[in-house]
Amino acid sequence: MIAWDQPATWAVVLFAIGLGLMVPNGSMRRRAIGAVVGLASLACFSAAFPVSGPWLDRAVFRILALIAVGSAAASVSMRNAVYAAVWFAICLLGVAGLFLYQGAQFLGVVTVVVYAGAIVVTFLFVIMLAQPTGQMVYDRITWGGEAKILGVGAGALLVAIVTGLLTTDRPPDDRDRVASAIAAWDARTAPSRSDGIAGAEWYLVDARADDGGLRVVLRNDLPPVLLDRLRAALPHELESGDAPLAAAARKQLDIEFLSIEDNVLHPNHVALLGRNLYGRHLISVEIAGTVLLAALVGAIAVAMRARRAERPYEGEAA
Amino acid sequence: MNERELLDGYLLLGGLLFAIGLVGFLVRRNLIVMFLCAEMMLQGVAVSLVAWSRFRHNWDGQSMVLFIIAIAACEAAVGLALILALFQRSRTLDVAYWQDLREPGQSRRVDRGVPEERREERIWPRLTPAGVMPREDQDKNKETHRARV
Repeated sequence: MIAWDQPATWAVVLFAIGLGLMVPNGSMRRRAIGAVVGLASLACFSAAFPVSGPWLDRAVFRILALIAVGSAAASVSMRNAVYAAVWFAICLLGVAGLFLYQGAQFLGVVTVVVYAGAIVVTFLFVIMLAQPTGQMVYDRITWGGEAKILGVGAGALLVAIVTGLLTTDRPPDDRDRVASAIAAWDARTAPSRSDGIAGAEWYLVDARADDGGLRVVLRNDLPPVLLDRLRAALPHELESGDAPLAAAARKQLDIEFLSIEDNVLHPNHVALLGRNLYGRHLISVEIAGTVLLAALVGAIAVAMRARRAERPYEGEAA
Repeated sequence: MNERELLDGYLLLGGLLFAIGLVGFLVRRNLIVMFLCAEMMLQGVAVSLVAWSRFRHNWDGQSMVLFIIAIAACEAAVGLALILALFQRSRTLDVAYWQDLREPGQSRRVDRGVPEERREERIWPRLTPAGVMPREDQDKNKETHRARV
């Protein structure tokens, strides 16, 4: 049942062991071993999920991922809350880099400004106000024994489920079948074409078949001549893989291009995100604003009542 | 890097961040660190939402991450105010201090086998309390900061 020859299995096991050793316990040396095991687990993960492409692309992705996950683990395992908050800020910088890498520029900036700039600073303020003296027992040993093992086990189970789902071969859906048909057609006809369109240009956003026919959405605009040739070739190409899909394509085949509004990678990124946010999600934006206001008032009320509890006789004297 | 590999990598990263946050929330006892770990779980979800948004070319994922950030800010404000109130009541950040709220029938937790604090671990970097003028340290020879964690 469990495939011990796969790097993914070892990655999950090492992840659990490393995290279990890293969280605060009595011994410094055990935590250092935990950090080494954790790095080995990340190496296994990167072996289990190979990525293709230019080496610089891959290196940037790997480094950002290492920063995000590594500093997250460091944040969990620091005994001092100040260090934990600072490591969490570094983790947020890594996540912001990952957002930028996906082309989500606005979110990357917002993560740095709001999260690392405001939320982490609030944490540091509270650490400053509520600071017990010296090193506390509860930071040094946390919940010892079986509680720790159960906690780490729950996290490892979650990672195991995600890894298992991602490494199992999924049955191909309509989108996968159409994508592989287009790729096969592209590979066959590319030498005889002189348009210089590379395989990546055929990126398929969506393909859906129903009673009316087959609807295909491509990301990039293509020359009309090429499109006509693809339209003619696609039903034949689908014939070998999936008969119902080919029948739908014969009935009616719509090939569309992604509209500008839907193109997440469009250079006009912030304007399009704003259009979605203030168009589709307008009411949610209003509600989020109200929730922010309510939280602000609530936080001040709670903090002020706490102050009054600290000096109970002040109100009577005045 | 092709899009499917990118999606897989980001989903895995989101899962790892969520799992690390979950483990931290279950294992740590410091209220502030537990709260940080909850924020880390939100980050894990945000990473996978952005990945899906790119893969399906749908803006809703990125809009939802913006809402996550807004709610995280609310949560931080209210949660930290509560932590402050609890700290002023009990003078400790230990979540086990509030174990009187546990279910009936559960036994009380007692810390056993606490390892001895080593000498070099006693000196602990501190932030200056808010609103108080920092005092000059008279004894220059005294070790005030530990270089190693």
